[in-house]
Amino acid sequence: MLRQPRYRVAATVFAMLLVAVLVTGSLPQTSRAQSMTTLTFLGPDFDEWVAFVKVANEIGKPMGIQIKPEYLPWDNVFQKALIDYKSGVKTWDYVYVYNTWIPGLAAAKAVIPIDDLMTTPAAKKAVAPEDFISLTTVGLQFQNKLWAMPMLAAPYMMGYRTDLFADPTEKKAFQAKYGYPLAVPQTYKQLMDVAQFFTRKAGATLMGKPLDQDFYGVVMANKSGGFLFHRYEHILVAFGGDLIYDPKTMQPTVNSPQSIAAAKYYVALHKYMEPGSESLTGGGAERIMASGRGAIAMDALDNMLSVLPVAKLSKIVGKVSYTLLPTQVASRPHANVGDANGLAIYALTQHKAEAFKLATAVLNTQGTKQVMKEYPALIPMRSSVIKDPEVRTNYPNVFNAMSSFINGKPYTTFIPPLKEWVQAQDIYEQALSAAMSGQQSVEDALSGAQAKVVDFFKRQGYVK
Amino acid sequence: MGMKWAVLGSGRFYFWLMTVPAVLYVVVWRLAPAVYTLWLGLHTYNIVYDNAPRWNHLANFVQIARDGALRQSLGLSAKFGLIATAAEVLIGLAAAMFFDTDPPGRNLLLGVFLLPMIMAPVVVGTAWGTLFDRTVGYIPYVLHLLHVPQPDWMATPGTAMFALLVADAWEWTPLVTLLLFASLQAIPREHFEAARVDGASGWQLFRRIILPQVTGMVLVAAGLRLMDAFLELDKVFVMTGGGPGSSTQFVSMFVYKQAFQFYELGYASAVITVLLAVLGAAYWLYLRSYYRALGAANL
Repeated sequence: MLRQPRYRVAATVFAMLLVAVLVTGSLPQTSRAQSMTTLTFLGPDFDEWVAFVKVANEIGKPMGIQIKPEYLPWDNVFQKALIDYKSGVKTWDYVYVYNTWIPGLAAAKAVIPIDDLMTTPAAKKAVAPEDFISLTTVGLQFQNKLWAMPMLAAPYMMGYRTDLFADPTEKKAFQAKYGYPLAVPQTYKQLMDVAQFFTRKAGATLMGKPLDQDFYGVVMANKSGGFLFHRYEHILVAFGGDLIYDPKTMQPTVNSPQSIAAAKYYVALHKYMEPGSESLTGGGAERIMASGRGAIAMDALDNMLSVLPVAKLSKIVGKVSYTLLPTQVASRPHANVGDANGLAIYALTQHKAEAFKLATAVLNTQGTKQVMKEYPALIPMRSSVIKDPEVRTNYPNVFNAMSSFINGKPYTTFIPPLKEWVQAQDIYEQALSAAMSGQQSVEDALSGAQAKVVDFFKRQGYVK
Repeated sequence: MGMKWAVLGSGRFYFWLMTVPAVLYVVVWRLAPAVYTLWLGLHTYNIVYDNAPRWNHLANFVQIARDGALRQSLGLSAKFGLIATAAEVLIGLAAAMFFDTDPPGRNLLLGVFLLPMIMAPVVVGTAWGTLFDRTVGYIPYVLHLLHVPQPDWMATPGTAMFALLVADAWEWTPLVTLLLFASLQAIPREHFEAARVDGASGWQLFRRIILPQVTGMVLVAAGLRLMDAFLELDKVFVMTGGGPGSSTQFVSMFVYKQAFQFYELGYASAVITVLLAVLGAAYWLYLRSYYRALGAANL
């Protein structure tokens, strides 16, 4: 018998070891895989969804279900869900949805309506639709169906620095300059005055102390891709404008007088915002506010609550209160556009029953409270959660802000049911960005956008 | 064995055996997508909402003719391509001449200098986007320390374009340098020595010896860079997203938005077809003048 060369022996031993490791390593995984169903979640890399996944894995464990997330930038999720569905990709079970995406996803049939899954009394009980705060969940409906399990409302509000508004020096100076007392803005005229008043360069004084950095009247996120339009749309509605078109006639109204007035206002207000706001998302803008460099933040309530009261992130803990957006047109008091986030079940899921079971278990009253423990800024969409004494006690910011929102009875509208909404919004947003950067005047930018939307609507067959 | 292969080599089987992979590659990977794109360009097809493409009587091409946004994007691409190419050729030539002087540690320096070229464009875009960022960027920070008034780089049309040009030049000047350095190295040293003996100045050396001998390579480098910069997408996508407004929405970004934000695959395909035709014509003109220039130089 010929003797094997040493390197062959070594290679054989190494290969056997490798096989042994792989076999022993894979055995428990196989057995785990046999007992656990893995659901995949396509969503944004936001704290609340990280919290959701964590809680879902805890709740799902005894049910034999686990979630594997795939996090993408927020504005890419919609695009990926649509294209993946159209391409027949069966990877996903859950898709995060934002209310403006619902018409597009629903029209493409990329997600399954929750109503279609409530086929038994037990299933209906698990969803408990009567418990939803309809003011917040309307945005997740399309053609009389609910397309996602409501997870998080994000009403747009103002967070303002209570210490600044109470400071006697600032009050005196404001009164002297504008002829009326300094107060939390109730109108957009007052907001502009306040924003202008508090915008100061480093070296100037604020509350009697010199500033070591520039200070901004209003802090907002203006990144293109949706963030800019989602801040601006409230002002557009407050000024009496349509959301891009008149749903009754389908005629685009991008350059209507109301729209032009709103855009001019926003461009003027932009002068008092933090520089670089064009590249900031909500989280980034709130970091600026939290660093003590802004007087007022206008943002989704949960964005503000996830940063401003958090000691390790914020220098202004205990110095911020939340109130409704200002009013411009009297018939639309504190106008705002509803904002809702939910969990949809992907149309090509291979685990429809398990996905529904886990979604209803995590987003019921107890599950939502569990998610709130991980993400205390969560604005629940179930009245049972808001009314829960434990929530009232443990999350006073959420409770107080939501109470003021609900009791203030703001004029709330939702984006119209247009499947091409995201595209139409992109056209308007680009025009607004052009006006803000000085590339074009407001009138030219919006007239150009109007022509584009008309052309777009013609191609879709909405107008002739 | 060798005998058998030789016999086979002269036969038809061997001919097809050797040819088919190349033909398959060209047909499957090159020709088929191009023909499909051309075919899609003749149809209306929303990838998400349409079940199948619909013939639209050349409507896409009519729309191209009257699409102001596309014209603007083409203009911006041309502007970006020309400025970026000019900057890269000038800086690249200067760097190549520096390396040609054989400075100490030349190989190490050259290696470091060439690094940006091997980085993924998305990484380059992310790095420069961060450097110019108003909140965390190093460039605004340094300008702040120097008390220099600083623009809002990504929020102003002119400075956003400038930032993209800087990023592109940083990434691709090394390629131009590499090409021109190779060309410079091929010039016989005796030419310089003889010219110096005759009292030629530095400028005369450059004008009479260097420039005539690297012109061909300069044209090659400029042609490559112009075509590539004209179709720039990655860095725009990462750094500006085409904004502010539409001030950096180059033609590739325009096509991307049509295809993957508006899902109008038919229209996007028509634009690509037209672009291909225009670039093909430009490339043909470029090659023709290049060979003419070479021919004239040989005479």
